[in-house]
Amino acid sequence: MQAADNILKLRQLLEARLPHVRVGWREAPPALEAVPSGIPALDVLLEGGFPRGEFTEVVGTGDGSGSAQVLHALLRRVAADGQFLALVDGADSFDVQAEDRDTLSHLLWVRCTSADEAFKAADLLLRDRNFPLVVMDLKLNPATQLRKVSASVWYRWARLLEQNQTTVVIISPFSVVSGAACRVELDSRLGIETLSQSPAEVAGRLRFTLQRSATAAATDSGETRRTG
Amino acid sequence: MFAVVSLPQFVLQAALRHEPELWKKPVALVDPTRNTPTVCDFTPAAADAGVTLHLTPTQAMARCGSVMIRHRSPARETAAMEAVIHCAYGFSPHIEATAPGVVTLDLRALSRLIDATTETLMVWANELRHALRDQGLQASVGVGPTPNLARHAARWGSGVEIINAPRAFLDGLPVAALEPSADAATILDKWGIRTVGELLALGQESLADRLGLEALALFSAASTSVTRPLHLAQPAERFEESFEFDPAIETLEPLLFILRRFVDQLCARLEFTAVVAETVCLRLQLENGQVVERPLRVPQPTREADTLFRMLSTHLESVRTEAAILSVGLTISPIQAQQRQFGLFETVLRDPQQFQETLARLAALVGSDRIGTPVREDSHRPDAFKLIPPDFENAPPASGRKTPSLLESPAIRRLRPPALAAVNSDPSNGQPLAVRCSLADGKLKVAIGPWRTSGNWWENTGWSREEWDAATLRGKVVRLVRQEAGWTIEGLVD
Repeated sequence: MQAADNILKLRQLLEARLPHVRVGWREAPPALEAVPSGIPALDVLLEGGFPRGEFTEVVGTGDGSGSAQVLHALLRRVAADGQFLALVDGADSFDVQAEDRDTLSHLLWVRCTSADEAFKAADLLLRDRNFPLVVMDLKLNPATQLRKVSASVWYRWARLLEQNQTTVVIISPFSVVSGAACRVELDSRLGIETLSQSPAEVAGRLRFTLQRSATAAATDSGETRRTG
Repeated sequence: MFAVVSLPQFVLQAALRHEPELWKKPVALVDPTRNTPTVCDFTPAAADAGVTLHLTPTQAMARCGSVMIRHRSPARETAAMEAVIHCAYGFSPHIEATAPGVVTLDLRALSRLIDATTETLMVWANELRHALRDQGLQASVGVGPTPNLARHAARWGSGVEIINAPRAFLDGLPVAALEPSADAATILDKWGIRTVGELLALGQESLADRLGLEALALFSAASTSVTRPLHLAQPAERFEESFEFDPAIETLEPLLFILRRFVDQLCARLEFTAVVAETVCLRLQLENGQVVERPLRVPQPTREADTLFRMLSTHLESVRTEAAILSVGLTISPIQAQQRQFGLFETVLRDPQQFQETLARLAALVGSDRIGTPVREDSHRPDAFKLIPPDFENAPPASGRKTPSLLESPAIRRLRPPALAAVNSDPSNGQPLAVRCSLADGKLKVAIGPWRTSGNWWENTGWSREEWDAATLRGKVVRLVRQEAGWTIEGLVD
C-alpha cells in the first residue's frame, strides 16, 4: 500500500510540475472511426460500429446464433453507403438468394474450401490497399482447422491494418483472434419462426454480448455489456 | 520499301532460345529424325573445338569431350517462328513468313516511315531487333526497295543494313547470295565472276544464251525494281512456350525462373498483337509420365507480366507433384482488350492495377470459378447464381431494398455441396419426422413444407425438388430437400 501511495504522489507531482507530459493511462484514448454494422443495437454497443483499421471478432456460439444475419446486414449497409466489401467465405456458405442484384454488386466473394485457404486469401486481400472492409466468415469451419492457425498471423495482419486502415470483421464459432480490438459474442438462438420474418425483424432479435472493446478496454476492461 | 528479318542459325537459335548461356559453350545440335542422327548445327565454341557438320554425336564427343548434345525440336522451331511473326506484326500489319527464320515486312504506307531518312530507318530496324532480342532471338534486318534486295541485305549485312544505293550494294554482293545451282556456281567461278555486280555487267541476254533459264532467275533475284506480291500471314492466336528440363527439377525456383521468362516474352507478344490474356494454362509433365495441367482464368484480362507471373507463382506455391518435373509449358489464350472510360475525378479503387493483381492471385489460389461478384441467375432453382468479374467502378447504388417486404427472407447458411441425410418421413404426406446426418441428428420438433419447385423439364438438365424447413428437438433449424437422389440438408439457420 505504501508503494501505491508513493506512486500516486509521484504522479501528482509530475502532473503539477510537467503538465504537458502524459502520465499514466488516464488520458482518454483517441476516438476510433467506425464502420456501421447495419444493426442499430450492435452499433450502439460498439459505439458507432466496427472500429476502422482494427480487428473485430464476432463469435457466433451455438446453433442459430445469428452470425449470418450480421454478415448480410453489414453487406446491405456497405452497399447502401456505396462502398464495397470483400468476403472470405471459409466454408462457402454465403446465401446469394437473400440479397438483390444491386447489393451483390458491392461484394467480392472468395469461396474457400478450408480455413487454411481462407487465411491465404485474406492475407492477399489485406495486402491489397483497395479493400476498406474485409469480412472473414469461419463460422462453419471445423474447430480442428481453426486451432491450427498460428498466433503470429494476427500480429502480422495487425501491422498491415495499421498501414492500410482496413477494417476486418471475423466471424467465428469460438474465439480465435488474439489481439482483436473488439469481440462480440452472438447467441441469439434463432428458431424456425425466423424463416417467416423479415431481415429487419430478425436483426431486432439478435442478442449481443460485448466481451472486449477498444474504448471499453481503455476505461474499464473488466466490464461486459449486453444488448438484445 | 521492304524489310526482311533474318535469323542466322535459326534451328540452333530455336533450340537454345531459353538457354542463352549455352551459346558460349560447345553445343552440337543433332537431328534425331534422320536414320543416322548427325550434327546439323553447332555453336562457335563447338566449331573451335573441331565439331563439324554431319558428325555423329559420338564423333562430335570424341573431338570435344565437353560438347553438349541438344536435339532439334520442330515444336521449338514453330514457337520461335511464331514469336518472330508476332514481333514483326507489331511493326507492320503486312508480313510474310518467307522461310524458316525469315520474315518479310511491307513498309509501304506505314506513316512513321513515309519519306523516312536512313537514320529513321535505322532506329526503326534496331527497335525490331531489340524486340526480337527480348524474345531470345538474334536477328539481322535488311531494308531495301524490293523483298529480294532486303533479304540479301539481311542475310549478308551485319546487324542492320539499309540499302540506299541498290546498284552499289549489288556490286559488292557475292554471287552466292543469289543462290545459283552448283553447276552455275562452278561456271561463274571459272569465269571469274565473284560479285553480283560483275554478273549483271554480263547482260541478261548474253548470260541466258550461256546458262539457260537459270540466268533469268539470277537476274530476277538481283533486280532493283521488280517486286513480288507477299503471301500475307496473320499472327497465330496461340501464345505458347515450353521448355524441357535436363535433368528434371524438384524445386520451385528453377521453374519460376523459366516461367518468368515465358511470361515476359508472351506478354510482349500480346502487346505486339494488341490482345490481352484471358486464360493462362500451365502444363507440367512429370517424370512418371503424369501431366499436371491447370488452366487459370484471369479475372480481369491483362497483359501485365507482373500480374500474370504472380498469379502463376501463387498457384505453384500450393502445388505438390508426385514426381520431378520434366518439362513445363505455358499457353495463353488471348482476347481483345476492352476499353473502358474511367471517372474524371475519382475512382472507387485506390489502386486498380493492384486490384487486378490481387484478383489474379486469388483466382490462382482458390480457382477462377470461385472468386468474383455473385449474380443471381434467372431461374427458380434455389441457390442458382454465377460469379462475374467485380466491377465496383460501375456498381449501381443500393439505396434501399427493392424487394417487397413480403418476399424478403432472412439469410441462411448454404451448404455446398449439400450434406446427405437419412430422413424418416410420414408415408401418408411425406412429412419428415426424424433426420440423421453429421449436422443434425434426432427427431424433428416441427417441419414446415413442402415447397415444390421444378424447372428445365424440357431439357436434359431438368430438376425437381421438395423443400422442408425443419427444427430438431435440440433447436437446430435445417432446410431439408428431397430430390430423386434422396434427402439432403442444403442450409442452416444461423
